[in-house]
Amino acid sequence: MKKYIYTTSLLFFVLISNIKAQENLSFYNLNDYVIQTQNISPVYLPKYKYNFGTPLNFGGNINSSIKLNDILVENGNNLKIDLNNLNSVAEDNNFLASEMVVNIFMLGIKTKRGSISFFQNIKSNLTGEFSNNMTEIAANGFVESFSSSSEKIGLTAYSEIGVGITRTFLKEKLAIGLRLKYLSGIAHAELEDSAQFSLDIDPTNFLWTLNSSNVTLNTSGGTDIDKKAVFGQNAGFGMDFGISYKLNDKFSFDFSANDLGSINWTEDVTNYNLEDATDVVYNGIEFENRDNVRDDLENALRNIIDTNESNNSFKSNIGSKILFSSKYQMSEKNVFRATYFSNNTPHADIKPSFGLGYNRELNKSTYGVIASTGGINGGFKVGANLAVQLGFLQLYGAIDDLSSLNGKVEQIKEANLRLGINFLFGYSGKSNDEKLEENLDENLEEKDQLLINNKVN
Amino acid sequence: MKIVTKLCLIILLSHLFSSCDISYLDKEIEDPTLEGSIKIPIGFINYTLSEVFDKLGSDGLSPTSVEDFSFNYTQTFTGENNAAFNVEVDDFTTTGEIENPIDDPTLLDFGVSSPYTITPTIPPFGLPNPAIGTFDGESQVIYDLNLSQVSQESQEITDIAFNGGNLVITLNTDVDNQTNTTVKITIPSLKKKSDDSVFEGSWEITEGSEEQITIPLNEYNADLTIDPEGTGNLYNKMVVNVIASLTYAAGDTIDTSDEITYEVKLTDISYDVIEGDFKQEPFSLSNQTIDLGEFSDNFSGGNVTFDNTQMTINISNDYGFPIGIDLSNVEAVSTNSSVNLEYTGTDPSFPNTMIIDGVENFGDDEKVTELTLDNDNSNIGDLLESNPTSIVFNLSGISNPIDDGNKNENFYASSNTGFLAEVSIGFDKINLNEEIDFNNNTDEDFEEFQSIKIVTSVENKIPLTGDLILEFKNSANEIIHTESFNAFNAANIDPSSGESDGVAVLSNFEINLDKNEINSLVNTEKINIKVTLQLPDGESSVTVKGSDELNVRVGLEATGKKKFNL
Repeated sequence: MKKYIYTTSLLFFVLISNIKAQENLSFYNLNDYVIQTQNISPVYLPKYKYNFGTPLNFGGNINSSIKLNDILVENGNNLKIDLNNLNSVAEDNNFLASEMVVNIFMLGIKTKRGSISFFQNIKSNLTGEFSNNMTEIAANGFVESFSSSSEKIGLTAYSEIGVGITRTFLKEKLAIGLRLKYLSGIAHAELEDSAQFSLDIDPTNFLWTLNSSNVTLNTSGGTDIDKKAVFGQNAGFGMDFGISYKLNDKFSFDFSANDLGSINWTEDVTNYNLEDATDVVYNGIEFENRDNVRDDLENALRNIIDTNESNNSFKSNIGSKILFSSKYQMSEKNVFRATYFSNNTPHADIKPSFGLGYNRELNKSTYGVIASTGGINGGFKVGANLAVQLGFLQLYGAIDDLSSLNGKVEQIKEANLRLGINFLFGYSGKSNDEKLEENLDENLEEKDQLLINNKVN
Repeated sequence: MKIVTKLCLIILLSHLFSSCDISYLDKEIEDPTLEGSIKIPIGFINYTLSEVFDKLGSDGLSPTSVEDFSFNYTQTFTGENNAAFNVEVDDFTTTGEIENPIDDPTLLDFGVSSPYTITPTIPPFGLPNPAIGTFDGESQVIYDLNLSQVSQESQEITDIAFNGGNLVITLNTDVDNQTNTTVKITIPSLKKKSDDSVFEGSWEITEGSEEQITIPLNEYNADLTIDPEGTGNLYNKMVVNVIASLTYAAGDTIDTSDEITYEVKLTDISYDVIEGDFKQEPFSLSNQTIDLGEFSDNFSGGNVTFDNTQMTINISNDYGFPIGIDLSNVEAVSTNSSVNLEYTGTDPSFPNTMIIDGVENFGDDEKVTELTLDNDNSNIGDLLESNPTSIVFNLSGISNPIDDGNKNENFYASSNTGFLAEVSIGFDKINLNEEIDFNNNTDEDFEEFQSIKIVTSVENKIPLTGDLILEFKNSANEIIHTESFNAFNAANIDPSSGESDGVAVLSNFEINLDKNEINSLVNTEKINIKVTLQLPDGESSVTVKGSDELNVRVGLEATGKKKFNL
């Protein structure tokens, strides 16, 4: 059996080396051993009657096509900001996606046909996409024409307080999970999705021809975080939805759509607007009778690139995430899971991720490995996860890329880590169907043994 | 899972998490020094030509002006009194008489007295009468032409080649008609052109019948150098020798009071050429003025200089003598002052004098002499740079300007093209200079720049090419940096109007300054702007309009470095 497992695993890893994966996939593979996996798959049912997540649950996820030492270059014993180096390594499109989740509390109660949970999380994410036009400008200044339409940036910090219900149907073959969340925005900044800006510099006389549309940076919050973290004026509604179906003893499928919703930002709102412009030519100033060229230049530029501020409320999506997986139950304790994950943040066009994981699932503990690809950086990654129980105390951890652990922090393009401590009470083990099947199996085994004994006798 | 296994896994996991090397984060981040560049249009300015001149201190070209813009001005001059050299040989008449060669003492020797009727013999011996025979009487007239004198010295004419006029000889006698009377006149000053023979003629005359002989002079030359008296003055003399021969025969009456009178008259004289030493004869040229009013107006008040200023004098002299032209009265007249031309010439002993050779031989082509006055041999540049409204040419001349004591060998042909002078004043370029104060209060700004490139594009509709020189000066008025470039090329000219065709010609130039040059410019106190205007290639003049446009765009590419404090 073990040989079969290893062979199959090797085959999967070889295959997956041609695709790639990341984005909490390793954490996802902890399945219903950890109550916090409901944050990414609401249909997961806790194994314990009572699951209490402490504030010591933390998740962090950083993915960037730029490494830290791409911009902070070692200079002897110091670090220096080197924009030229950044520009030299920048690709046509560069991405940054970071997410931090702190589970303030979570209470999951397993019910007869499902579960109910209450939770509060503080989430923040910074997502952005920028072209090498921007790094070119940062490194060399405004010396060449450029067009910026792919630049996106979004920073959001919010609190979510919610309740989740998971219910099984069809003799637990079908499970549907729904989590409803009240969202309270803490801080936000985003460049409007359709923002476009281009600057054409005439190589002969340096005349600027400007085009801009929808260049608006919306910001909100950032102050009185404590007040906003629970029931602030930046309110919103969110929802996680999940469904799973067990096709047979071997195969089952999960689908979830998380973080569906939006926040209305009404408090401390400032909209920084750049006036729309179509082929506007900046000539500089007319030299006649000028006293202060610098001031006049600034004024002339301001007349062309007119900016204004407003305080209009706005709505922002919190960024949905789609997850689909198929589970292959090779044996009672050996599970393979293929996962598709898509981060649909409006602030970056991130490719989906794929993962293929193996977990050894014991009664109260599980551990496994996962190979993944896709996402921002692509590449082949090997991650691992572990959830163990020491009495009522559960420790868990998951990481999508093991290589980032032993590496140098300045060379890491991505890091994904989930750690947490939960208190678990009332182990119920397998589901009712599983218990029923086990009982049936045990009865059949007993009957078979009796028949064998009878034949022997 | 056994508890030991769990602990091992936890320890392994913890180790993995803690094994990440974060020493990089312990390093200090230096204060960033950001370096970058920017290309940005600084500004633009649209000038009309009128405004360009105005900016450069010349306010005479109004926006509506349409002017011929030339770098070359020409004027022609002719000899004002060519007659000064036209040696007028007036009609002259010389008369004389020849008394009877047998006078009273002679008759007394014969033993008779006048009147005496000749007898064949004389008593007492019946000897032949000595009164019978031929007796000659002579007379010589040396006529001085008495040429009119303009100068202190009279002209000394040696030869005249007549082409008209008459020699009229009138003879009278009161000798008795019975006496054969013959008059022979020889004029050694008249030589026949055909054989160079001296004029000679004999005529028999009778009492009461005036004999008049007219001889056309065009067949003769006059040689005025015959000096029978040996005075040594070999000029201006017309010598006439007259011999009267009386032949008495018996029966004739000798009256000692008889005489033969003659008149030799040259009338209506004209000649092809007259030769001699004309001495130093002054004359004037037609006074001319080159009007520089418009030109000067355009640059009045401005600091204007000219490159390669030249005055070219081209003179055609058909006279057979050299002429000296006095240039000292060439004067640049401006509103409040004037500047006289100073020409050192090639011979220091003749300052301000232009020596013009004469035609060497009668019949040769006129002599052409060209003289160029430039800044090396004259102050012509100063004349133009004095913003003259006009240049007045009060030219005067003198023949045979070089008086070395020797005879001058001059001639004057009655048919001549005279003296013709053409004066051109020209220059290659006009330089308009303007010095402006440069109050540089932006030292800090300059320090941040590593290099600066200023690009300028000029759209020019003015039919003039312009070069620009910028001289940056420090407080000691020393030039600390210079930039020079072709600022704009001339607009094309519409052949039909001579004006700009209105299509802008684009020119670009750059100023590149490195860090050292930028640092030096920090000390700039003044900038001298020198705009040099040139006519388009192949054009001697163009028509400019005050409204012709010059559009200038300036862009800046600056590379800077700035340190920020974290």
